[in-house]
Amino acid sequence: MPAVEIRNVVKNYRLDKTEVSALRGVNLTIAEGDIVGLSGPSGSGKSTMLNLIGAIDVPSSGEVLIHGQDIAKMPDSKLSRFRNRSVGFIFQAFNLIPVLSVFENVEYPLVLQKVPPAERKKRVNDLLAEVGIAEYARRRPDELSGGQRQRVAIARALVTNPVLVVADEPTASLDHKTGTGIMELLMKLNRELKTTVLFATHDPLVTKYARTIVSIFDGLITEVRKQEGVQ
Amino acid sequence: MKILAMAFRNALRHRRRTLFTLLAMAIGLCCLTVFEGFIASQMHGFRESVIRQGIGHIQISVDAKYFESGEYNPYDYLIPNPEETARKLRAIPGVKYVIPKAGFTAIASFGDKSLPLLVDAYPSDLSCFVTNGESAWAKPLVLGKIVDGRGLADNLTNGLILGRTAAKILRAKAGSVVTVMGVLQGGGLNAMDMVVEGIFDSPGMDKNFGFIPFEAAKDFLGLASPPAFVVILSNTELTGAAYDQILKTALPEGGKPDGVKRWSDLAPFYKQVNGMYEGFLGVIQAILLVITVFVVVNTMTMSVFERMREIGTLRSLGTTRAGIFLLLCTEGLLTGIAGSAAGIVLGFGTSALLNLGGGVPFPYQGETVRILFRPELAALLPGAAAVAFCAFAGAAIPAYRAVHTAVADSLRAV
Repeated sequence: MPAVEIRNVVKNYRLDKTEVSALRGVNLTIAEGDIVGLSGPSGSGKSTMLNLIGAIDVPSSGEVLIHGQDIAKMPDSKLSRFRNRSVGFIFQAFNLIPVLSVFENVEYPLVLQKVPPAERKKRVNDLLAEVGIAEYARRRPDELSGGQRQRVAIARALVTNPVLVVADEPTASLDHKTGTGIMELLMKLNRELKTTVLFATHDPLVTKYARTIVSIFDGLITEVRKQEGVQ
Repeated sequence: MKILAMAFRNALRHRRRTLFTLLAMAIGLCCLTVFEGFIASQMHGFRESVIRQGIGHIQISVDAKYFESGEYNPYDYLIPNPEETARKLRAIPGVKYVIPKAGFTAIASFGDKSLPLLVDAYPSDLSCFVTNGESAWAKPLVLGKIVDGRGLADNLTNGLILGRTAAKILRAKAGSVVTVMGVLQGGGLNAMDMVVEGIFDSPGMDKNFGFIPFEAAKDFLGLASPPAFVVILSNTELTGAAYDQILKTALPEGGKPDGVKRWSDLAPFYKQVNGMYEGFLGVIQAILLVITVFVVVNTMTMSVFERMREIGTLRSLGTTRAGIFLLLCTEGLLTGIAGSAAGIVLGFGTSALLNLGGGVPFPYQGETVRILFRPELAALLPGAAAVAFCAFAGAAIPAYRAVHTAVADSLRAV
């Protein structure tokens, strides 16, 4: 079963009195364990597609199947549960919760799952060590650098062992060196955990990390291409 | 965890804004506390005054009808074996005095003027009037304030204390001899010349009231026993317990339970005044609650607006709408609880400071008394709880809007 299957998806937005089509009948299949890069210029529909696949938005028409489950048909409470258990998000601006420490930020999705405290502690500490920020566990996000924050966000996205990680421009707020480090970390975690990773970028230096590159332009997929040599 | 911990930290995030919200609630509740303390103090004084002016804490008769028509016909309600009833009453914990009481209707004549009069009679060793130089609370019953002449003494078998307006109508003064006529048990008339020993002032009572010593009333009417006992307790708070005990062990022979009345049953004017003050407090409280809702709605709307992307992030991590709603409302509730607690502490502190300064002057019966502030925590707790609830409810309005914004839209917020 593919990790993600999109069938004839249309997404329209109302902007004042006019209707704007962000996606205009898109079809896409993403295999389990793949690393997919969505590439395209600003306003092409990358983020809309990520939102739909990440179950934080619903299509105007069509089907979005994640591991066979159509998210468009889920009620809100089930969608929340689905996001918590099946999808990990990494945002361009990190989106860490400022009143929570690094440890608490990573722990939060497990609290929602009612995982026992001892198990939470072990999983969070293991993952913080894995992404290389164990020593900052008690710090607040505003005490970290951009790269460190994005590592926290990656740990938070992976702590529930999701089937899919969705990253919207994960390196856009970082310098080149830090961005490279973040992408390599994502690659490593993909290899070790077999998590499907889908990221959007318009940076050619970042697209090189994708095994599959999906090009979007003006709400339509213009090309799906496999890259050789990506580990 | 985490809702409470997160709500607490979020509430402290914009400290100045939270402080202003909290201050608005605290100052409002402080004013309410001080005002409640002022009213509680006044009503406490008024209550004790009403009790000591003849109503007593509890009155005992053989039948409830005594309290409607006993002064027109005391003979129908005479307490059989009064010594035994008084002994039983005195045995009840908290009972300090058991005072026989009688009353009758009469015609008072002086010169060419006549006036219908309600005459109340209490033993003069247990009742007094406030006169210059006499302590207001020297005896258990303080029936009024003498403005001319003197109060009653035990040896004055034909002495009368007359209301100021009644005296004015009769054109009588202290020392005047007034003829008092009353109806006896068999329907006959008895008349007696009584010396106006003093003239008392009591708003609402002094037009048609007079007082004579109880023994004089017994002789005048030929009463074998009193139609009622007035019970004075050591503490007004004991009224309920003493009332229950009287019903169990000290009812007069052949007496009915409804012939026993508490002071609160016999003081409709007190109830009216208390109701009026409670109405004032209610209005102030309602204003405070409306202000609380507005302030919290304003604060939480700003907070939610600023944290829209954060709310979107929490939703993307799997927090349900209900979870976000509860988080935001808990922030409002915590602010409300803190504001309420601060307001009550501030109110008690302000009251204590005002009391240290001697309270506030208040005119009473031509004199200036100083009113102290005596706020009661039990009376304030419902108001404080209402403030906290309104803070919770005030947060619910922006919270509702926040949870009904699409997650993707929340995440796009700047």
